[in-house]
Amino acid sequence: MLAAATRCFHCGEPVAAGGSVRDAERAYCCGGCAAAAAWIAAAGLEGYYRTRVEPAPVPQPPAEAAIARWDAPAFLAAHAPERAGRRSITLVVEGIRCAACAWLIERALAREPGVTTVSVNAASARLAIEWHPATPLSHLVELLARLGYRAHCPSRADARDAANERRSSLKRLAVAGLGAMQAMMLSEALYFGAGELGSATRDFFRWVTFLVATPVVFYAGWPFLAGAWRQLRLRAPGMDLLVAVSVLLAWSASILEMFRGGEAVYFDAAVMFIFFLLVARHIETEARRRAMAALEVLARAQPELAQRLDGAGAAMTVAVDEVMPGDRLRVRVGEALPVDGELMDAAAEVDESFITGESRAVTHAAGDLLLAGSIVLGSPVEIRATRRASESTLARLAELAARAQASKPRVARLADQVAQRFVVIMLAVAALVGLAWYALDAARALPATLAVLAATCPCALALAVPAAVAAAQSAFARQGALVLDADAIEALARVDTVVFDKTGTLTTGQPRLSGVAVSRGSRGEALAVAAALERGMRHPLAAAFGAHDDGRLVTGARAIAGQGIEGEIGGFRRRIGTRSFATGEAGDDEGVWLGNGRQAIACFDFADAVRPGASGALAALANGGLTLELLSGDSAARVSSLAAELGIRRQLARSTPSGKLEHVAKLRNTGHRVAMVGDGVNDAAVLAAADVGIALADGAALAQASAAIVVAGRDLERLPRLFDTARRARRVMRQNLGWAIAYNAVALPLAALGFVPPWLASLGMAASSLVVTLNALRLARPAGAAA
Amino acid sequence: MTMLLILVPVTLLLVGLAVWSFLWAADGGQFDDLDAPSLAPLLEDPPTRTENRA
Repeated sequence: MLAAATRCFHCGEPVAAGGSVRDAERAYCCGGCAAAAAWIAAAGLEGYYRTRVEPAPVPQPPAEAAIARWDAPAFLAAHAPERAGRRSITLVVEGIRCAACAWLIERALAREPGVTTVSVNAASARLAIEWHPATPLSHLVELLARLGYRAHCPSRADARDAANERRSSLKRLAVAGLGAMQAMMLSEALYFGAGELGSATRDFFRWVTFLVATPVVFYAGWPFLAGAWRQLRLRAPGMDLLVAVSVLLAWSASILEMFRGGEAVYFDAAVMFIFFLLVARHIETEARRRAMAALEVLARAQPELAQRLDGAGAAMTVAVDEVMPGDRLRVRVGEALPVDGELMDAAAEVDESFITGESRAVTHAAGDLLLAGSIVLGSPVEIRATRRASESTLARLAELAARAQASKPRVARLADQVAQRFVVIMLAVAALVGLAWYALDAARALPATLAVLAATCPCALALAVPAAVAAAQSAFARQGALVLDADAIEALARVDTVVFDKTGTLTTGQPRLSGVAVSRGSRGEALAVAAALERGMRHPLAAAFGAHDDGRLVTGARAIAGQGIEGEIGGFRRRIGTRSFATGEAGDDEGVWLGNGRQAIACFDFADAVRPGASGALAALANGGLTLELLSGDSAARVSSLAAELGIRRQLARSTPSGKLEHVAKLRNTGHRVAMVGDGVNDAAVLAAADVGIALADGAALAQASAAIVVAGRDLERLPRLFDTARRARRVMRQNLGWAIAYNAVALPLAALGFVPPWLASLGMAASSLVVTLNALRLARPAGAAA
Repeated sequence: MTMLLILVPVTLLLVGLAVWSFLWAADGGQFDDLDAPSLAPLLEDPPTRTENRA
């Protein structure tokens, strides 16, 4: 055609005279194509243009308005607040179906300037990205769109998309299922009646099979074809490519045979391959959806509207993003609190089950902090907002949950890489098998090649670990634990030593003042000074002094880790903390001392109750073969009495934060695998130093806790179950990997030697994916039922 | 064997009908929630229904 010279270099559409975009030697129909071509060139993937067999689809960048949304300051403030010069966000990405997509996106985004970390989880279709604010987020979203992936911010709109995705998956499944039945039925007739049928009847049957198979291949199989095309375009071979190659090979070779009146047709193999794969994929998607539902609940708990009260007490409905700290809000019975706020009514009953997992009424008094997401019971409440909606405890939790979903364990990344290479090797092996059989027995070349392609699809290998992780996440979530680092599951299963932080973890953390020994001044004065110094500190001791606070002014208060607090009150320097720090004296280190740095003013004694259920939980852990240790900044006498009470043999008292770090490091150096249990706030560094950090926290502290595993509620009895779940998860991962590898290892030689007909190979491949998925699902069931 | 010329198209028609009705049902949201509706009759009347009656 003459027009060839004036066609778009990228998509092949005719270029309108005058309306074209040009660079040095090429013409493009539109900016989109020029940009896509420029990106592919810049990414070093130009070979695509030499090897492609069809023109590229026209990239469809999202509408301007939709793109601008990603850079709107309000959007960024709400979903990707700037922290330490970086922004981070977790997006749901439509179109991710396998490890290859994840790999591609990671590679494409990581090379963008300003992007610091990219992590894609194919199992949950989540993209976690951290970038420098100088780079507009819209730029990254646009790049995704150019690659054919659509990014969404996790929100309610996604539920609708997910429902649509599920519907279309069901529709494809139904078409494939009905088509497969018809194709099988007709093929049976061809297989068994071939001798008696005249060639006219045989051809009639083949034509009907063709009619049935074609919509299955191109409608039901569309996700695989589209995925394969994308993988080909970006030179990232993946499972879709393997599937598409085998299906199209079977389909087109059958058409050829049909016209030639050849030996056999393979429409049935193509159709059944698609059907079995869709079944496996559908079950896997459903399992993933169910497993993640527990985490998604957090994100949905925050309402979108709030009732703001003006000066006169009239209510006005506003979007939750518009609520500012200090606003008065009314929340009706049965509704969830839109933001964190201070209770203004005398008392209120709320249900905090979204955090504690227990659905029961909790009574709060005026001035208490109520958390966003709590459901109001009894009577309507009025609160004064203390934080914006995007900064609420709930928002932070939802962010943690999103991060948990985006985290991918090392084993899974390894399996991804193996599956990636496997696909390339398998295509080569299939070609070799085809050639070898062609030389030996041409009639068997096609079925053997199809069988190799179908039987060795590394679907099970790619699913093995992500499916187990998703199910384990859900099992943990049901026990009130959020796994923020997917590697923690594996690490937890290998732990042999559990180190406990004492205060707030093994004990209730709400010490009561049990005695005051005053050396100078009055008892009341000493208590008031201590209360003023401790004011605003998050340490549990601070709360014990709270009742004695008379509001006196403290200047320059600062906390010195492991020592105490120093500040100036009424012109005098005052210190509270260890004896040597507060009084400058050596000696018995029992209690908390108040002094001026040289002399003692008072010494306070505290009683701290052991948490109910602690001894039972610790005994269960010890029975499970774990060594228990107790670390505390407290005095030796107290620590050893607590250790004796709980049956802990090893303890370390009066340890400073750096001492705790050293101790954990020493344990790890001597070959122990250490889990550290603490509150995640005061001991975050030690938790991070251990193989696994477990934070037990409740209420507002939960959102600040930093650890690989965060347990909502301070219920120690959950710990043995967490270890148990982690061990089961590890076992399942190993079984899955072992099964997937063994299956591929056995199936390949059998298929290559021609012992397996194509339809049986399809069945075997789908069955191995199903086995892996169902095995992983055992984890999502409660421990008792899975025995 | 001429019977096949009638029966096979009839089968195809029936399959087409089955596919069409499934797609129609799926688009209508019949399969969106497979868990909750089975429990619906066991639950007490939602408040909205009481309002409708009033």
